[in-house]
Amino acid sequence: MAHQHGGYYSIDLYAFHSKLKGINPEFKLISALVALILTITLNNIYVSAYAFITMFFVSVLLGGMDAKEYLSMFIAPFSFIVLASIGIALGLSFHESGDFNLKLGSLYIYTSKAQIVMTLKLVIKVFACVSIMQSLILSTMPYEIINALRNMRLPKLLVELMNLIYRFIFILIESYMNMQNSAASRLGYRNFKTSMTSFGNIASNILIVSLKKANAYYTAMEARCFDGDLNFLQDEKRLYGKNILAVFLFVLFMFFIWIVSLKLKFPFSV
Amino acid sequence: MKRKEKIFMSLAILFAFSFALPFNGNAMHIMEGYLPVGYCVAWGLISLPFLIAGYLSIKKTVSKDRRTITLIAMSGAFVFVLSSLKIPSVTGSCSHMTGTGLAAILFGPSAVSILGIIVLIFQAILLAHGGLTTLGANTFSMAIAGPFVSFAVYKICKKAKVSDNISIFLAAFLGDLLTYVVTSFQLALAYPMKEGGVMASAGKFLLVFAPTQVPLAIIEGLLTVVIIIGLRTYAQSELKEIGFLEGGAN
Repeated sequence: MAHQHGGYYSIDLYAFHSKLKGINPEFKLISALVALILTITLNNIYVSAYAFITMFFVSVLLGGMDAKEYLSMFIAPFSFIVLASIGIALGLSFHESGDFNLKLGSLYIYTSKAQIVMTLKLVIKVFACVSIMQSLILSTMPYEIINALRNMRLPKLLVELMNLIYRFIFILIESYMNMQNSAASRLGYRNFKTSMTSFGNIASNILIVSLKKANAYYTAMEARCFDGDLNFLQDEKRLYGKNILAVFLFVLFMFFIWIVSLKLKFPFSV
Repeated sequence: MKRKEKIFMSLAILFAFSFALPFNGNAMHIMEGYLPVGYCVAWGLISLPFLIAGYLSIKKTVSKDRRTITLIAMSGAFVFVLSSLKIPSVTGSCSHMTGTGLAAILFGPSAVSILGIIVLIFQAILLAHGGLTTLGANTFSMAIAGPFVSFAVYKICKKAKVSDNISIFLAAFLGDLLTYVVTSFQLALAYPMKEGGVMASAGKFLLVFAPTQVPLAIIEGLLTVVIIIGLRTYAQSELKEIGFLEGGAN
């Protein structure tokens, strides 16, 4: 798959290929947050479906991402969605209640039409929100998001930490991949017990390696005149009127769908 | 088939289907969009004092010795990597550690709150686990409640002269378990049941997540012990550097 750093799963590589990477990152971050908050507060099945479809359009057609790979991004959140939805749709009770129920000894597992409709609405809303977040991530490099946070006056220390952590993650993952390879080639994952030992030893070894590297990096930074300030360069990305217009229309249409679905009393719209 | 039988069949199919999914063990990140806006804001506000305390503690450490910034960043990267690694599992499902119990024991709970929120942001933007609006709730359960309990359990066990390995196991295990309990309550508060309210709903969520989360907590506990044994054997000097051998105080 394309989203791998040397065999390691990560989404950020997509952003480097996105056709939308030239848009001003602060603007993308704010638009995504506005869209998220609106989708959650309007809580309307049609608005959610509209957001989901639009985001598919944005990421696949405008961003130039492969549709199959885009849909495969939804696998990661899937298990939580299934389990949490079971938790919301079904109820437990000591006496019969709801529209449908199932007797298990003295307990009843029950559900009702209203609960199922609510769960369905929630699942569609979650998919819409995940797709809004994805369309931000798939078009914005993580360091740009960090820079956007810096421009929004996040404390400097946190921004520095985020920048460093982002860089260190890939260094550590590379050492992990090497250690894992060498453990695997020595039958280190033969059964559950050896896997546990190998995993634990590798994890402690990574911490040791990372602490050693931390010192080396500090020395390297000092050698490059580090005096307590980490400055990262950022590309100037202009904000165009057409971008603002597009997001404005998207939000406007969201309200339009919401009002129409309420006025015309579409099914499940309340 | 009678109606009841039909429902039973469909439940059985749903249940079987859920095992065929590429199951992801760190299912405890509340996904984007699950919480109503009020809850997102409320959990963010509840987490805020802990984050400020964590920020001040890190700031103090860094201003005392500028060199510690790479150390702290490496620790954060370590927690992220640890939480993104596939751990060995009995069922063949794909599960991950939270890593926060270990981090709390090593680096102290207040620093972990800041590292935790940064790790959660990266998990959202690099792995699509969790989300931006649910960041507050996830921070509270994973970066604050879990680590604080782990740290407290570890300290209490040390005071009570429980053997080292058992106290580390208990700290990581209970911290992980608490994360899962807190998340269940967070979901229950947002989605209470009509009859029985929040408590009944919480019980339901606890039950649904138990099959994946309880074994995971045990594995996390065991792995944390193995990791600490490895560190004790090979990294005495590094452990002194981060203050673990003197009691992990920061």
